Amino acid sequence: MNQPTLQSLRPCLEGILPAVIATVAEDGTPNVTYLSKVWYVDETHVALSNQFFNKTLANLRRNPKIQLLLMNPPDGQHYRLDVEYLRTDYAGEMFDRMSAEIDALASVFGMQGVFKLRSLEVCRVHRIEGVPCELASTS
Amino acid sequence: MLRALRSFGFWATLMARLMAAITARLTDAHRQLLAGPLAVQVSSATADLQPLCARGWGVEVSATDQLTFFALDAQTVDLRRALGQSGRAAVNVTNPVTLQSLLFKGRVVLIAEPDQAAREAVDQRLTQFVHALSAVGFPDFTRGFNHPGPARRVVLQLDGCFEQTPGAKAGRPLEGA
Repeated sequence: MNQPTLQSLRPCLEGILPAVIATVAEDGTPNVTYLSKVWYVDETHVALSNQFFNKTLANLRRNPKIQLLLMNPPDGQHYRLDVEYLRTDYAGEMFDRMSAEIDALASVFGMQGVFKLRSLEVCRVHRIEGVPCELASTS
Repeated sequence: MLRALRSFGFWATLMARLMAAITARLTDAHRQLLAGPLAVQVSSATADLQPLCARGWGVEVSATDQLTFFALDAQTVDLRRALGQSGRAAVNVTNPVTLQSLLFKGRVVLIAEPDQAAREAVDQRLTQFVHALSAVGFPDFTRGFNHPGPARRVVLQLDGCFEQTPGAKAGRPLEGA
């Protein structure tokens, strides 16, 4: 398996399949939940859509370490990303574009009014790894 | 009296009564969710608070507040190490079609060596999951979720359960059936 880059993972960032986000509280209690979309910012940064984060945000305020699990829509190949929370954006061009995309996703799932973008969590990507899977091991 | 309070039997009974409250809060809808096709996400953390996550399979919740899931060896090397060291885990279960979700938290009481029963449990739940997603237009991509190698059984003693379905109640502790 070639070393994946954020650019090579662009299909995983289209919002077709939800991503998984894991964080940890100061006392070591883990948390895991889904997020609708991971947004490509540049080759070393992503922005995470926050619609329902409560515990996740509380954890990030104290411990900026995150692990994301992304899925590639065509074949389901999984990728793990170790990322670091940098800041929260509540407005701006990227926020507006993401908000429009989330609204479109919400209509697909019939969840207008439930899926509402609250903020963007901007993060630096430190490491990407492919998860061993049937597809990778047989190709 | 003090000696009696400190006895193992007292504390074991007290803990069992306190902790049995978790599954008592599950509604019929929650139990239906747990019996159906599930996307399972598991997380733990290293000693320096690095979160780790991976896909799990075959969640079962007992009346004694124990949660069992299966982990594919090849996909969970770091996660299993963290589970063994920190002893703490979070498990998110989601119906991949309705998005109804629950989040469980607990402490590891067992990580069993890989065996054929665990592998068969993974295969059974994978098939159930693939069928559910094929029915809504995702026929092939779940191939990438699997790995043909061995699997292990992980058992948690639960100490928390939370609503996780997208919406206003996401993140709230279960209030009761």
